[in-house]
Amino acid sequence: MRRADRSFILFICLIYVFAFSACKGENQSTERKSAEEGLTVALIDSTAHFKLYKEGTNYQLHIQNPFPASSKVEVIQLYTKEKPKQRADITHQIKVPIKRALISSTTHLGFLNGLQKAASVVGASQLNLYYDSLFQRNVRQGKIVSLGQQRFNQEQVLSLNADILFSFAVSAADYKQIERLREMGVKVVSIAEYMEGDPLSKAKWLLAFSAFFGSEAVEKAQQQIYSIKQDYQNLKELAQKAKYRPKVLLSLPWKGSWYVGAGDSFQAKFLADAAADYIWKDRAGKASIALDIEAVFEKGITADYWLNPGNVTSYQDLFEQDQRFENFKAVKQRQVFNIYKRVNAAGGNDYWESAVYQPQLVLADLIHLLHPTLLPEHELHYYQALKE
Amino acid sequence: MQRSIFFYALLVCLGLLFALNLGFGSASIGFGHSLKILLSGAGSETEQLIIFQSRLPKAITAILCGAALSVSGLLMQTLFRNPLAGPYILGISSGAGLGVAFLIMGATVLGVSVSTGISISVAAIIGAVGILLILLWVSLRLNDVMSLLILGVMIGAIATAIIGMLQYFSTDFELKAFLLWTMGSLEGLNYQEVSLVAGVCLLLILWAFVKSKPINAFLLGEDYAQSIGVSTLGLRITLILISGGLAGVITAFCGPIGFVGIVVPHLARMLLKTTNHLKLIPACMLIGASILLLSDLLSQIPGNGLLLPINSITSLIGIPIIIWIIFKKRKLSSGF
Repeated sequence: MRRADRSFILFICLIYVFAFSACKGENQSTERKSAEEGLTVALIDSTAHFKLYKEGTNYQLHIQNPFPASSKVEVIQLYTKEKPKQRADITHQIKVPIKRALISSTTHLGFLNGLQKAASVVGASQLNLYYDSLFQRNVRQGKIVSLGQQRFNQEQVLSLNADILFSFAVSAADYKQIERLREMGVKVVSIAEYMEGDPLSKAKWLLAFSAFFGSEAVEKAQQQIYSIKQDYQNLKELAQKAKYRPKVLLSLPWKGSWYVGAGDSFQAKFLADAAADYIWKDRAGKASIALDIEAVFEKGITADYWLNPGNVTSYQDLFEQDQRFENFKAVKQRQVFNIYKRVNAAGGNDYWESAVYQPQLVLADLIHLLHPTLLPEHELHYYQALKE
Repeated sequence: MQRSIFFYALLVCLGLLFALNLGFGSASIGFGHSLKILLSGAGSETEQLIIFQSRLPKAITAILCGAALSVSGLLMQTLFRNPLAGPYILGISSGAGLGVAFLIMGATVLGVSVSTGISISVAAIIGAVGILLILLWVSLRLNDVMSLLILGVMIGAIATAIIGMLQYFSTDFELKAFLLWTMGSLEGLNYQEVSLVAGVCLLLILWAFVKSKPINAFLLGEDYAQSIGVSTLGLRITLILISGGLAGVITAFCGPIGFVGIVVPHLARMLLKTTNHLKLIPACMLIGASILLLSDLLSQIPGNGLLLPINSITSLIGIPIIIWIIFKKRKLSSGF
């Protein structure tokens, strides 16, 4: 090797060492121990991604790992009367109850509706995705304004002067925008409900939202969660009485690949609680996996039910996608159901809005479909059969 | 004489667009009032925040971005004597994209979290510098610009292929995050980052400006350049370093921004009717900055708070310009 080459390679190595060591500095965990602050017991119904602590008459909301593979903790101090002393580890101090909220996901509206606090919403991103008719009316009347489509329109966020922006980040890249808004003085909290692994944990985010509206709202949310848990548990026990566990196939292929939730995914949890035999239940992992269409044909052709086939609403649509679907048992017996029962003209789907805090309704739908003898009286809430 | 008038006109145009950018936005602050806030510091806290923390850094970013990409494209077109060359011809953006793709989508695919704490810009810089170093190494060993061009395109293609693989196995959330990055954005830079970008870009452009004479000689042919004592290998490396550095730093902070870097050098050559880099470099800076400011202005749809992706706007503006140049000049390669 020539000398020039060797020194050049050394130079490359040096640059990389430098770059990575620079990253490491940034990398240092910002995790803080709540015990140090004297907050030892989180309120019941906190989850893996949020903890709510009571501090006298105030609350402290800790958002843990606001996006995948992060170790950050956001500490939001929610006070009623006097502003407590600011500490370095506190992300925001917010006076409650809040009056003006900005949201960035249909689930945020769902939670606020669940708490009957949706009237606080003054701005939202991707307005066309929302189902709630009152929300849409407020948009038409200009009471709710757009925060942009995929990214926040910074200027709009600033000019609305809201008490809080309910946001979320799915990556470090997303989180950068949140941090930038914070630099500008916007109070932002990362709602990480989408990372929760099971339906009840998602619903528990009602509690996190309630803390922004004072102690009365918190107490009400706790009762609400209690009854949701009860209902869900009762339904789950009912389902386990079923003698036969029907085989269930999920979703729809795209260009030859079939993206399905793995065995520990959120959808798989719902199906397990509804006493169904999900055909990919033995695949380890939480994320969705891309399977070759043949692999699904082999296993799925004998499935009794086919649920959530994307946005397909009729068997004709289904056959247009792939004529071979005619051979599926679920198709032959007309047992294909989608989640498009509650959809408005603009395409907003209530499943992505209100189901997040009403998992018991989803479970009841599933049990009604999969075990017709167990819940014969139930009327489908989110699910509907495909049309011919 | 005519040329100096032309430069003054460009400067006025840039100033005007800069003022318009600061004066108009989605927030309902009138043009006059915005300028008053800017000049006298009047206005409410929110208004000041909007002008000084949102509009001003964004407008400065647009200027830096347009100037840097245009000069980068000019140097690439000169290096390869090819009218189709641009800042991203050697795969710099694919390299940056690869870095970002690993950051956003690597966690799911590889099962290891690489994203903790590393910012997207650092990931993009690591990717872009990686590609740049490979190219430098290649250019040390190959004494032929065309081979370098082909290798650059191929290295870029490999990076794109790896990105495709990562995309295929990633979740829809991650896909969306990555797609958004590829659309480019002038927002989201704080003053620290703006000054960093400004410092790097101005140094590199100054370097190019100082090297104008040897670059002019290079354009007349490598043999000619050598005959008047220019080290062609050294110059080639200088051009790759400057151009790659400019494209890399902009891509790292704003994402890939298309077409400005290809179109503006042609526009500058046509309007100035010269191939002298002493004049082309400042002209490219002024035209590029103006086009980006205009794109940013057009990306905001007033009244409904929507922002269009900047990358689409630059392409929508850039492509008609290049078509117009082709029809007007008939032959683009005459400038080489």
